[in-house]
Amino acid sequence: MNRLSDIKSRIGTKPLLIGIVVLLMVLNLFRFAVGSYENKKETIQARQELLARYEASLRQLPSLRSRVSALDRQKKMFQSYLFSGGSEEEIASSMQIMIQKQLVEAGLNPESLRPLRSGDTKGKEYGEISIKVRSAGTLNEFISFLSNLYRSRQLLRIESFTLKPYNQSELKIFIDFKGYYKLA
Amino acid sequence: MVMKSDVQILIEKDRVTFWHPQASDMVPLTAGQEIALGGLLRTFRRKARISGSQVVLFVAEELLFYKEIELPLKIPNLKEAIGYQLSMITPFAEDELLSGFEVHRRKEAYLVHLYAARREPLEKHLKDLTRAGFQVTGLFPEHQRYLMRDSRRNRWGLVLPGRFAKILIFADGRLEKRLLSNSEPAKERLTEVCETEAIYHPQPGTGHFLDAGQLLSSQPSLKEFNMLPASYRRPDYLKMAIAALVALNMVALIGLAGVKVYHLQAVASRVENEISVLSPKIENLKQLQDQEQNLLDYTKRIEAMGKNPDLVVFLQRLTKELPRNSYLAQMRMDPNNNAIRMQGYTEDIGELTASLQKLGDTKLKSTSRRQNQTYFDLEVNTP
Repeated sequence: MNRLSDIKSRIGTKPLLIGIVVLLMVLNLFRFAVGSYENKKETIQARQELLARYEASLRQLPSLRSRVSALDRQKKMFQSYLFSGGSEEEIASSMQIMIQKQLVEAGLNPESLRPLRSGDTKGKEYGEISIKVRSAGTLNEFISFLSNLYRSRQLLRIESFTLKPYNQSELKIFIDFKGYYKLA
Repeated sequence: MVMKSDVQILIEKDRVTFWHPQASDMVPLTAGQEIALGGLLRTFRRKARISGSQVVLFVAEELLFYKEIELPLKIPNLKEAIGYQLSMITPFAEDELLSGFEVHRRKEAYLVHLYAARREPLEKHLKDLTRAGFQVTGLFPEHQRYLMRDSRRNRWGLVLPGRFAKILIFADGRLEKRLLSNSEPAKERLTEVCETEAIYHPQPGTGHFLDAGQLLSSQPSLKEFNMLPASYRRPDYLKMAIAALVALNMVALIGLAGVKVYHLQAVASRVENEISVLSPKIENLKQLQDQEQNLLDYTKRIEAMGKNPDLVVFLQRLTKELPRNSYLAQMRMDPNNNAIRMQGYTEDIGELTASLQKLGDTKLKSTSRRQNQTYFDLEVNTP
């Protein structure tokens, strides 16, 4: 304390206070400069990390492109199997014609084809139509029909079927199909 | 600035003393005698085998005029204010004096300790020494010889005998007070006045004083009351060097900071440029990722539709595996179920189930025996 009061008496209160204020200002300026420098450094580090992440992500770009391309081809292929037409009635009709043709080509005797439309295709990439088929024929003819159906480029899924003997050598065949379509 | 090899010359009324840590010599003077200090110093150096050309002069307190004055705190330039008053407060004309002063700031006013001396014959001595090739580094009152760097923090007194005894009180390495006395006071009285037991005397004798000679063992600080005229003062190279070093350091510091900031800016600029170059590609990447996700979702939905059971193979194998004495009355596949249910009759249910196991996991739901036949209801899970 004596030392301090001596310094105070030597220098004077006003210059001492001004000196302290200047010193504090310099220290604060230094602290501000260091803080600002550190902030800038952290910002740059964050940007550098972002850049590194960008570069790492971009290295995956070719493989991502090929994956997307493969998935897109798959989607297009699937869509090519869908029935297509201007309206649901039109599509149901073309489905029946196609099934009728396949049945006849296989040697089966088509007795009835009855479409059941779901009607609601909102928000879906495709619509569904159920078709109930009743026909008669031999097991070989049925197998032939199935083989032709599986080979066709139209998407028809067998939901259920029932086979019953009929007239000793024939079968009564009941099949529930589900056909998928997209409106053109 | 006195270096280790500096010679000290103490000029008194009736003698001149040459002093060096290695030797000392005293030359008595008679009234009106003119001396050539340069020649005397040269002789002293030769005798004492001392090298170096720097010398510091001390003037006996008796030959100096001392005054304490107070000046108001509001004075903006103390040096100028004291300079204006020198001829009024000293018995010498302004152009005939050499002076040195120190200022102590107090609460109510500045306290100025002023030493002054008649310019002649001191300037004659200075010229003589300079002409003889010596470098005079300072001209101080005698008491400055005893003011050591080591004694800065202590409070102590110094008695310098003479026609009037001079009592000098030092505190914190500075002259605090200078008193005159007709006779040399006793130690007890001085202790009371000086407020310290440490009182030095050049001739301590039996007065219980401390020997002032021991203060000469180390270098004097020589910070105050330098009366050496400006024309004889050597530039303070140390101060200049320190100032230059400080300036150099500041420049280096600012330069270093500038380089660091510049480097940081350069890195920031490079990173931003690279990010701006990559940003469109990243946008493209994000779009592709979204597209991939949509396609994967689409594929999942397609896969959820299920696939057609391989009925062709199943029916061909059934034809092959069904025993001869077994008949099917109905075969049926239910929606959303890969199981195929068969009803019929057989002569040997064991053979039938064993054969159908080859098609898949076969479960017998029910059997009944009628007309020597076993009617069955079973389910085959296709793989």
